[in-house]
Amino acid sequence: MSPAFEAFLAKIYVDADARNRFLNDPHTEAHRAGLTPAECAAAADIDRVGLAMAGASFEAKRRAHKRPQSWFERLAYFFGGRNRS
Amino acid sequence: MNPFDLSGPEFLVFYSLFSAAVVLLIVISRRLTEKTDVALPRLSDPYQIAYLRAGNDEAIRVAAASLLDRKLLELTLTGRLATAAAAAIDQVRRPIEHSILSRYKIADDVSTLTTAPGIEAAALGYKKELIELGLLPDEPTEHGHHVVAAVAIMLLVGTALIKIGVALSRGRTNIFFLIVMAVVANVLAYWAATPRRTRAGDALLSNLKELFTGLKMRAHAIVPGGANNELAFLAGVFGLSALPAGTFPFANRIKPVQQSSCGSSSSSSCGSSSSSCGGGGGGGGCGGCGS
Amino acid sequence: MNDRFGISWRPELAAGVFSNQHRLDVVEVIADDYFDASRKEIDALRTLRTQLPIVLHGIKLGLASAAEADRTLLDKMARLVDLVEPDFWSEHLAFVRGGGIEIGHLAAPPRCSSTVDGARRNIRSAESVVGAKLLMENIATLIDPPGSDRSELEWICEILAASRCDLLLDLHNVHANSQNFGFDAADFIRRVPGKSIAAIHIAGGRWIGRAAQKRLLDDHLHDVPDAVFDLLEVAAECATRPLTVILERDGHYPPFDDLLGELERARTAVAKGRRMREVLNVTCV
Repeated sequence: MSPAFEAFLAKIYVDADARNRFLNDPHTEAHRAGLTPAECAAAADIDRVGLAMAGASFEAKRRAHKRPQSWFERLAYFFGGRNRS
Repeated sequence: MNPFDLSGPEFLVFYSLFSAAVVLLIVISRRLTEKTDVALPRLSDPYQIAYLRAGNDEAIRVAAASLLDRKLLELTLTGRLATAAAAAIDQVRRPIEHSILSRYKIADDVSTLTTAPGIEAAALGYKKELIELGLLPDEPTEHGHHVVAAVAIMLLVGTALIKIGVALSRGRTNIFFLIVMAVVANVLAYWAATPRRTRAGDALLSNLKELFTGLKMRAHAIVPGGANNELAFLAGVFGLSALPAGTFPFANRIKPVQQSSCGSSSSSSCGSSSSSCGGGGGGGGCGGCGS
Repeated sequence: MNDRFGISWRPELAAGVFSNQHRLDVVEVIADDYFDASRKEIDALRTLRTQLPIVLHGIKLGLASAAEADRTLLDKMARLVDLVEPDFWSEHLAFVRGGGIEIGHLAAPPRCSSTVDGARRNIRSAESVVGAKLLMENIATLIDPPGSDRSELEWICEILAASRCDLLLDLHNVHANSQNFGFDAADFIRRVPGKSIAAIHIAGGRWIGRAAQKRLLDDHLHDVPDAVFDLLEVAAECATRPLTVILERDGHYPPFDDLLGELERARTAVAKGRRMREVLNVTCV
């Protein structure tokens, strides 16, 4: 499995929309991500129950670890930065 | 060029630079002569930390606060301290706690807390420990501090007096600003020359405040009862003012009535400076090792 | 055997740690919290080190990946290790990012030859940059890692052999994975090379999900279950070296005495395991 496969996993772990699209049509989404046939097959065979749980767990942890914005970041956002991290 | 021939405003500029140089010299000499790395013992006694931060009285007050929190000591509505029960004394192991509970077997006014001889003596034990650890200055060092302060003051006062003499001899009487500046300079020089703690003591206290920042930020969540010693460490490191009044109402009643300005006595309490509440290491932890 | 027992350093536990140093041998600090620390924060950590030995535990390097480890993060870890001088440092057999996307936590990579090779390269690189030997921790996973062609045990053993790093054996992670994916946790531990087990984590978790699809989540928010103490006995039987046992707790903190009680239970379990090893002349792997 290549770094591209890990990148694909990272995407469906983190992005709920990407995850739902993948669950609806795993082969197409995997192929679209440029995975090899073996990687596509592996992706299609994914543990769906675990995927849903993992996605939710990762989302919860990202929210829990999101640090509060500094006053500078809030100021920058207010004056025109719409690109929040 | 003779600085005493400078005009009034020019001399004020000169004097402010001269004073700054004297104070800076004191600070630099302290940095060069005092080390910050000292061998530290286990810092498991919050009253020792309180003593380091603000002296005898503060160590006593923090100990009393902890005893009140653990309900070994009681504070009546009329402001009298009383040991909760005879058996309370057997539940404490630190001499300062023992001395407080012994003293208040017979109820007495809270104002006696920091003046009772037995309690003061127990607290002074911390001074000896902290001096041996190099966190508070010993007598020869304090004597040295006072010599430096005296020299600095002589320089500053002498310089000001000479200029005042020159000014008056030339019929100039606008010496008010120079006098004010001289007073400020002398206070700063004295303060710089006679620190309460050694540099190592300052560094340790700063590091402890950093380590306990998280505790301070969640002071409102501390559960009364003393199970985790959180009140004692919070008050020891940051002062009784860090205790939320709603949860620990007795804190306000045993705090000093007013904060004195930092005096020369090493046992005076100069209050505590609170660190900023930002940052601090130790985030939310691992959060579980896996998805 | 000079086994050591300690706890994870959390601000919420500071008072408890300082008050009970005589009952602790070590504290574990999350390294990533200090990657961008100021000098003041580092000095504070060094003061903590004067009180108790420190071990550093990283969570963001993502070394068990086919992709190369992030050099910037490795440099930060190196700086921290230099400044703090921990007894050892550790990371996870996980990946945490891919294609520029941060997962936000530890994810189990495909257990295959590319991640074994990747882990070997990244561990060697990490040890070289940081200048200190690394312990790698097994992780818990809610998802059976896709793209795997071998078992978790086989994968871990291959990485340990290829990289010659030591293992930080997280017992609740073994327990959780055994419950979630159906294998014998004690047998798993017995098959791990005993000489590679240098440290142990114990923690608690909770069951999540609907009835037929429940899985055990390692959340570090609950008491250590009995099963983990049983596994600790097994690990102590098998480990040939002194162990550093760390109790991990990240929230829902009970009174500190309760945490000390769990550590006492851990001491008892390890002592029992060591005695079994001597009495029965146990050999694991």
